[in-house]
Amino acid sequence: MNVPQVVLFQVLAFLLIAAGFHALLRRAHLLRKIVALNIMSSGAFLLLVCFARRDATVSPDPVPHAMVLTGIVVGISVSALAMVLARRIYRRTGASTLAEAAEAARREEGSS
Amino acid sequence: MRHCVVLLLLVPFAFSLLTCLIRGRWQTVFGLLASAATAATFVFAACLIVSDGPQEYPLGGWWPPLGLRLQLDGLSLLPLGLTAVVGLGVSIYAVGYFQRERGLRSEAQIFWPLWLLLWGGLNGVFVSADVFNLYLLLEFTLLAAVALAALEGTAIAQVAALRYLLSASGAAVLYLIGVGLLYGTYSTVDLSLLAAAAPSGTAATAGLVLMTLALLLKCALFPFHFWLPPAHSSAPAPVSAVLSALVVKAAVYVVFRLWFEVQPALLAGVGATALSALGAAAILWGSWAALRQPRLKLVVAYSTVAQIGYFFLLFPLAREVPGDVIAAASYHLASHGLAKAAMFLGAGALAHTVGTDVLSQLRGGLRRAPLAVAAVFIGGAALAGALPGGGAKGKMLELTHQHGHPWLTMVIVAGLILAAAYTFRCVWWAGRWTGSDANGDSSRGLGAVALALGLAAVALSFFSDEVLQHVKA
Repeated sequence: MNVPQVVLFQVLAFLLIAAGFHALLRRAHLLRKIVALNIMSSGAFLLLVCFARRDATVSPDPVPHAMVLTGIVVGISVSALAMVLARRIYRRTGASTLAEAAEAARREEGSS
Repeated sequence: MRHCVVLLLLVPFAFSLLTCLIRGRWQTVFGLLASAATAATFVFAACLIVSDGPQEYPLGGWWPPLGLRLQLDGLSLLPLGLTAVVGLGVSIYAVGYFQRERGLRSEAQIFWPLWLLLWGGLNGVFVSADVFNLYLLLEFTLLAAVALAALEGTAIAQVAALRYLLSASGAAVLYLIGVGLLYGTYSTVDLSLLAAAAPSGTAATAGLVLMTLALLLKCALFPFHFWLPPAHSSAPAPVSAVLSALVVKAAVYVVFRLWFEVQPALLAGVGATALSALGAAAILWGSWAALRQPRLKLVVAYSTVAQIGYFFLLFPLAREVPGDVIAAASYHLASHGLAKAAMFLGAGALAHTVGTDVLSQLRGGLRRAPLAVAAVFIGGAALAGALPGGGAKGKMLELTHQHGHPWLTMVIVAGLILAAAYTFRCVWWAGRWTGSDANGDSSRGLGAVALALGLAAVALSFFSDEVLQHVKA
């Protein structure tokens, strides 16, 4: 069996994206959601890198690499902001999921 | 003069950094200066489009496919103008708002840098000419918008902001995959080069579908609207106005670029019908939900869910008369933006005077804050199509009637009636008489700014034909 290496990476990329997307939707814990988002973007980055090298005889295309680098910066910023918000919500309400936190926030608003 | 395309981004970004470094009164001064300078840059850009036609600007002198291209054309004219007018109004409003609300002084210090960052990002979306740059700037505006939505620091605002961030960045990853699929097939991300390649085939179509789905979530089209009402209604009034009037429009604008410029063949397919059906559902469901909300800011937020539907409702007509559909959508974009900013700013001023925005406790609001209630009323009237110069909904009705789409006509009429009903319900509560005439209007300045934006929507209705000429050209 002689599967080109790039196909393996493409399959891996789609698996990562699917796993991340599934966890982002189904897992309630906020940290799990943030990790899921990162796994999903890693899959997207891997896919972009795959597009850079389509033929082993030609040198790879640098543009997707530049996109991935920029995408990583965006991903870090999103994760940082999400973690700050999650920590503040936890400190304030003791909740680690969005549903619990929304419930606690409603109670807080009702009592004030 | 040509460089004003770049200045649309550079001016707000530079002032954003500056307002990070300074505090207190000077920060406000520089914030207002930045708003005036950014709005002035738009005036130059608009003159450039009107006198010389569409402009292209290669960043650093590098043309695509290697470099990044910025563009100014008819389609970007109205979103940029809306951003400039609403931006200026919100900046003036914010000065008064954050001074009056005690305990919000520290929020004001964070507000200015983030708001200018958001303004620059929005301008950037409207002048970008490649799909990857659009991804970056949409994420940029998202980060600033989420931080602004959480500004008030209540648990409810933070939860809403985090839900907004997680869903919109999940969608952004899907958009990035779409960009990857397009680049993998055509080796370019430039809008006009992609349009020249006329994307077809499985990978490119899958890419465009993924990008569209991601953008629909970002602009909160039904059924992806779940994050919008809490995020928009729990932010401070100037932030709510910006989120509802401008930020959701950025994603709508990108959908229009993709569907009308990059791949017009999509408009002939089943996708256009599906988007139109979602738009109709958004109008009916969003308006109905707005009618049942207990708080004024929630009514206005649900009305945004409904109004987003109008952008997509006319997609089945786009094959026959693309120019007219774009013109009607652009007019709706500007008109709704002004009306919605007036309503949110008016709601904020009213809540400031009365002390709450719970509808049943608003009684006496009309006597105590007449300008704010007038702003909400005029904004609502604009949404209900009752503009003296002819509203965007009138243009849409004309189109659906002419081209034989009775169902779409009925949806528009139902939306107009419901919009009139939920506006009347808010004004009715505020207009109820109270025996004791409590202290007078403590937010007259805020109400006046809100009313000015409402009147701008009225003024626009008189000049709509002249403005839309440049959009179609």
